[in-house]
Amino acid sequence: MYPKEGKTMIEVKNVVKTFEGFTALNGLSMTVPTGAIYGLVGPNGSGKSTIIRHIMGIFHQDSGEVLIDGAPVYENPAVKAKIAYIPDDVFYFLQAGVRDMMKFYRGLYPDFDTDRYERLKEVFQLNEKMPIRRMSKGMQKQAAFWLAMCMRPEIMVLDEPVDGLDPVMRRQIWSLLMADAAERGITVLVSSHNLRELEDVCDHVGILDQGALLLERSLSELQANLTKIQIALPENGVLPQDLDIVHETVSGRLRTVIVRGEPQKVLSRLQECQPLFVDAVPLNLEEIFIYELGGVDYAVKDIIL
Amino acid sequence: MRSKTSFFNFTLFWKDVSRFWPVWGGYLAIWTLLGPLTILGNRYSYGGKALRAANHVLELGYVGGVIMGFIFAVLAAMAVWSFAYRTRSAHAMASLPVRREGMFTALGLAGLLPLLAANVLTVILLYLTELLMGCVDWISLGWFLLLTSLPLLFFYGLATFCAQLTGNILVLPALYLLLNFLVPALELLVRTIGGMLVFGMRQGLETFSLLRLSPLIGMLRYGGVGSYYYTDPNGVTTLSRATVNGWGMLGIYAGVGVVLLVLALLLFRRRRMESAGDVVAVNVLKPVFRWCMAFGCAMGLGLLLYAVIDEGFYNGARFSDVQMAQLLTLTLLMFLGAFVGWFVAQMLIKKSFRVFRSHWVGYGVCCLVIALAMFATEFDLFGFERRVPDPERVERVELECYNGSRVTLSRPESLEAVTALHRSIVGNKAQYESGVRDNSVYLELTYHLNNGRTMFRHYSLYYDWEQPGDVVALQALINSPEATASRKETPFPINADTVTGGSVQVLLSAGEGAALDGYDSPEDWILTEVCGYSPEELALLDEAARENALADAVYNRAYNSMDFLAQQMDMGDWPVTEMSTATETAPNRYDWLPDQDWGGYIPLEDIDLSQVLFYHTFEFSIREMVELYETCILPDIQDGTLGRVYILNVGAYYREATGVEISIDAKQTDFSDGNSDPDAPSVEMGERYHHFYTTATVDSSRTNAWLEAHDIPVHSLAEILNVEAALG
Repeated sequence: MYPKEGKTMIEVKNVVKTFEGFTALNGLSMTVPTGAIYGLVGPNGSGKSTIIRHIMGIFHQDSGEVLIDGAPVYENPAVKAKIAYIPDDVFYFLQAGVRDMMKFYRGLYPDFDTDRYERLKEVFQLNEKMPIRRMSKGMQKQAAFWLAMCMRPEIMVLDEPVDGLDPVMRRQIWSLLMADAAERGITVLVSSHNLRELEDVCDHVGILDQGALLLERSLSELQANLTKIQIALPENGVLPQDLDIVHETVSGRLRTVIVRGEPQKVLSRLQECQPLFVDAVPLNLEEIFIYELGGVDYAVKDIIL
Repeated sequence: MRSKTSFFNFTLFWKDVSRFWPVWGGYLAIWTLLGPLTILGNRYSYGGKALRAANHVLELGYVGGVIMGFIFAVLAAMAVWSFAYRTRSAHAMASLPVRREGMFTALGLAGLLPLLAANVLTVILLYLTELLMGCVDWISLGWFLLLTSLPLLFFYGLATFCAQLTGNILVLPALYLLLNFLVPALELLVRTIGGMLVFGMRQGLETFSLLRLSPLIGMLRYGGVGSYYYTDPNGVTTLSRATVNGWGMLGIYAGVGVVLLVLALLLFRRRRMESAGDVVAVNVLKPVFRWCMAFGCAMGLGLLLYAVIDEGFYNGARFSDVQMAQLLTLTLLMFLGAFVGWFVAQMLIKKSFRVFRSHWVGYGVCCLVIALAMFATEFDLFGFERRVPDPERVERVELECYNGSRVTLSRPESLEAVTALHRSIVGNKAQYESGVRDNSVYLELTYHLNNGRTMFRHYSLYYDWEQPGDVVALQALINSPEATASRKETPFPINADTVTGGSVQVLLSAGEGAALDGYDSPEDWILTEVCGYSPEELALLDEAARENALADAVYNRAYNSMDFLAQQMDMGDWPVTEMSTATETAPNRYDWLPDQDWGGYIPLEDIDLSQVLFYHTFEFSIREMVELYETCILPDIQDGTLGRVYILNVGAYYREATGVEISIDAKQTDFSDGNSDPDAPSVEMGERYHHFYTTATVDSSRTNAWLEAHDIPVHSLAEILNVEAALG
């Protein structure tokens, strides 16, 4: 049923943000389709958290626009009421337990679902009255998910969301999120360094670097754009000169090359070299992230022992 | 898209009210201790129970309201705005679906309403207490609510405004304190530096003119509760009325508090949530903060360092043209202070110690401004020192000088004389700034101009005995008939209804004292009247003391009167003035006092008692004192023969002043305007006291005739001290 084709839930247009002369966002534009699970990746300091804070209406951009479902988010409670936000560092009042925070959010979010809160109690199994500050970081994250899911949001914005969660709970939470996405078509914007995890859940990816979006595609498009080839050439054999090779490693006769282009086209081009062996291996998101950024002064150095 | 919030959010409001209950609870607990419990402790067992309880409630409400408001307003603001000082909470709150206006209203009211509610609860508790004691006074309870709420509203507005200026919770109370005392602190610095640089500007703290602008001091000093007491013919004093002064000021401050809340709202609407942790949360104020720190530290730290290195600072040092080194020293120290202020501000803004690579141009400009200001002030580029008002533009002038009391002059000839003297002093600036002379007198002039403005000047007039210069004109001015009448003006009429007592104290030689009291010899008179022992007893005491057989305490008691007399004369505690001069000109009278080493016990036979001078007091009835005042003193003052002061002419002083000092005590009971003076809110309402005193002169003929008719010898000091020859 989702994503809704052609509809945009989050639209960021040419956003510039500077802090005391430091440009954190440099004309950033991105588009998150309605119903998408959008992974926001980028190196440290690329501006992931900063753009998320703009999308949450916490920061106000120096220039540009941040629109949620076509409306500006800053100082727009009607828009903000549709968004649940789980920051990297979960917020809670000093003395508050999960139940206290539930009452707090219930008074602020019009669609807060108390029944769901009670149902999810079984999933999270946290002591509601225990002050959140006494909980471990993982338990605090669980509490944050518990509360956020009860808000019945149309958008969930997650900044490093599963950091600190054990593998079982990660799977549990992702399955809940995926179920919400499937049933209610919620849009999820998630920033994470855990690229393998994003690969499993995201259908769209945006890569940030130095405050600007390097690329933004669906995961399938992204994976189709780079090809990892393992090839063994005959003696004195050479690769075609016109191949757009991003990276190459050699181990005996076996060469591993990352080539820009669709796998089938690259393979057919390599057949002209009459290789002893050639195969296309799919790239994972981490490799795509590394090799895409390699071209913008973020070169990955081979470690020579 | 429906929104649950608009301009108020109950959830946010209630969350903060419930989270920060210790603040409100502490506030209420202290009020309960201060209010109902102290009323229970005061049983008010005698007359006017309800009125006394009301007076207590009002006094508590005024002083307690100001102090409690001052303390708890900032605590409340720190509590409810604490979220804005930590990144995590600031971001979380900003992400909530609540507009800034709604958040401000909810959180702002969460800080204010519980305190106001505690005030109401205190009133209810006070009412129940008074009900229990049978002394309910509704009006005072209503006023209590206002007295506790108006200052609170102001202080909370100020604290909330401060909360929006910073992103650091420790800076909030610091800024709050600074703004409360900023005006007097600045006035102190400017006056101190100005007093050093500007001829005619007072140096020191005596006349803070802007204290009203220090909220805490202003409210406590310029307002309060006036208590009117009534004393019945039996001498029983009861409270007759209690009222509050300063409603207007409290109302204005409360209004300012509301304005500050509105300004705080405007700032909060534009607050950058990324400013959590910043010393200055508002970007445009960062340069302002840097400049304020630089100039503040230049004055404060510069002066402090100067005070450390220049001991003359404590003696009211004044720079002159020949003391350029001092001016340069202070200027350089101010540069140093500005350096500290400028770069510490930059460190606080940047949150880094690495700030020395930039902003040097700004610091240079700051130093240039300081140097220009200092030199322009010292060299009177603004014409402050040269300004002397035209007498025709002066309505009246208040003149105060050493030994001259404060007089008010308004007659044309007086105004002409004052401005002429002022011009002459300005012309002799170099002489007075050098400060190396025989003596000095201070002079303060407060001109009240026709246009409603005032002009104040303060001078220290250094002079030599041989060349007294302007001091001659000053002495003539303060002994003019108008000045004398003004000096001796009483706050209420001195008559049979107001005089409560009086005495005449006369300086006598021992021989004259003995004759007056019918003793055979001065020694008998002194030993009996002054020491309280017979000669035989004293001789025995002396002998016992020599043999160390007498306890010191007994011996001291015997010689106590003598000891006191010697100290009094040694310290120059004279009825009029110039003791030091008298000492120099009449050394023979003090030969019996071993100069600096005196302090032990002097055997009686070593003292020439016939040479000792004594004060002898004559007591008179009220009727006699009224008669003396109305028929003699007043006419003599009008003539200018009584009420003179002497600041210069030593010879005239000893020849004209007598050894007779007249004192009259008076009291007026007046319920109409008792405590209308806002500068003196603590004065008991309805009762005013005045102590009139004057020294007879050889020219005060009516007064002298009365005194002599009452067997009081009237001699000039020259005669008493036998210094006529020395005066030449």
